[in-house]
Amino acid sequence: MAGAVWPNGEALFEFVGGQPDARERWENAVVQALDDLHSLQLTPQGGDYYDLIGTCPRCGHHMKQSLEFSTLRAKDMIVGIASDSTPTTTFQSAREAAFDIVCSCREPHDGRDADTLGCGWGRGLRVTLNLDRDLPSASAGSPT
Amino acid sequence: MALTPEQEWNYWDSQLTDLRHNQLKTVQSAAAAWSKLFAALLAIFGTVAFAGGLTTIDKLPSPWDVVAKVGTLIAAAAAIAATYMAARASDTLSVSDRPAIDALTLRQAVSDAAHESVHWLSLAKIAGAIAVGIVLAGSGLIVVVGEAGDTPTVPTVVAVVDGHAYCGKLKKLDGALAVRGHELNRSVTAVTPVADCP
Repeated sequence: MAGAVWPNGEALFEFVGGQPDARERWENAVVQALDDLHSLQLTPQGGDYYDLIGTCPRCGHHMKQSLEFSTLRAKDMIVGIASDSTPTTTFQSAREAAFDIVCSCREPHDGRDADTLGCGWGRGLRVTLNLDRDLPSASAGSPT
Repeated sequence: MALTPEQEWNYWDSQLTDLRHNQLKTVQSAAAAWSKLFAALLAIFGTVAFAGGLTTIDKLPSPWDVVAKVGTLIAAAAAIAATYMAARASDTLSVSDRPAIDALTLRQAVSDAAHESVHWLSLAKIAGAIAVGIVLAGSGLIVVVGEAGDTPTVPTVVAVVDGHAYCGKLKKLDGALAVRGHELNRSVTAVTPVADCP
């Protein structure tokens, strides 16, 4: 449920992708976990690759995800990200990108298939990350 | 079969993974598309020279030679435009380093790109039809009209008449040949063709 208190280790596995309220709550929680709580951290892995490691904002369990901040694709497919669910505007800088930040915890959540991980949140809930803002070194005033 | 939102997301998330994993192939596809474009552009000039080539167009009688040359230019422009627009429709001409996107945004981007490709392909078909039509019409023109006949040239000669040499083009004067008004009759002792008069 989108209004439940977080973190909640007993949260049910659910898919809430595409719901604007859920997307906004998830993005705010992820950004807060990165910038304020430091319960999630971006770790450079070389080139455009970063690992996102920490605890899920919703269930509080350990999660880890590999992120790539740029991809080569046909130029005609270029799109940007607006504040809502409609992809219409452009990114603010080359160090900004959008991801499905998905909980990948191994702890059990009711309603989850045997071959699936996580509490279900993050799928279809776009989160825009900015290396200048969200890297640990960025908060120390020396972005890399 | 109808998909649930979760199944739909799972599919596009797998597509996003494929996109990230196939970046090299994307670049290679773009390179191949450019290569084909260059080869096609070079071949176009051979095609629009009509059946016998530009030399034959030069030999067409006026005004058909001008018509054929203008047609050649229009056909070349239409063929180049068709080739370019077809390449644009293939959606692989321009590849660049872009910010990452999420699965649902990729879904929208693919849809938009598909519509854009259809648009470019429609334009390419029109331009291609124009080019082919002109090439066929031009070839028919050359076959039907054929080459212009050779225009007879009047020879320039030096004629010695009554011990005086005269140079000029041969002309007809009162039923006889003449050079600069002097009839070439029995008083002529020599007539020598020359390229030009001194």
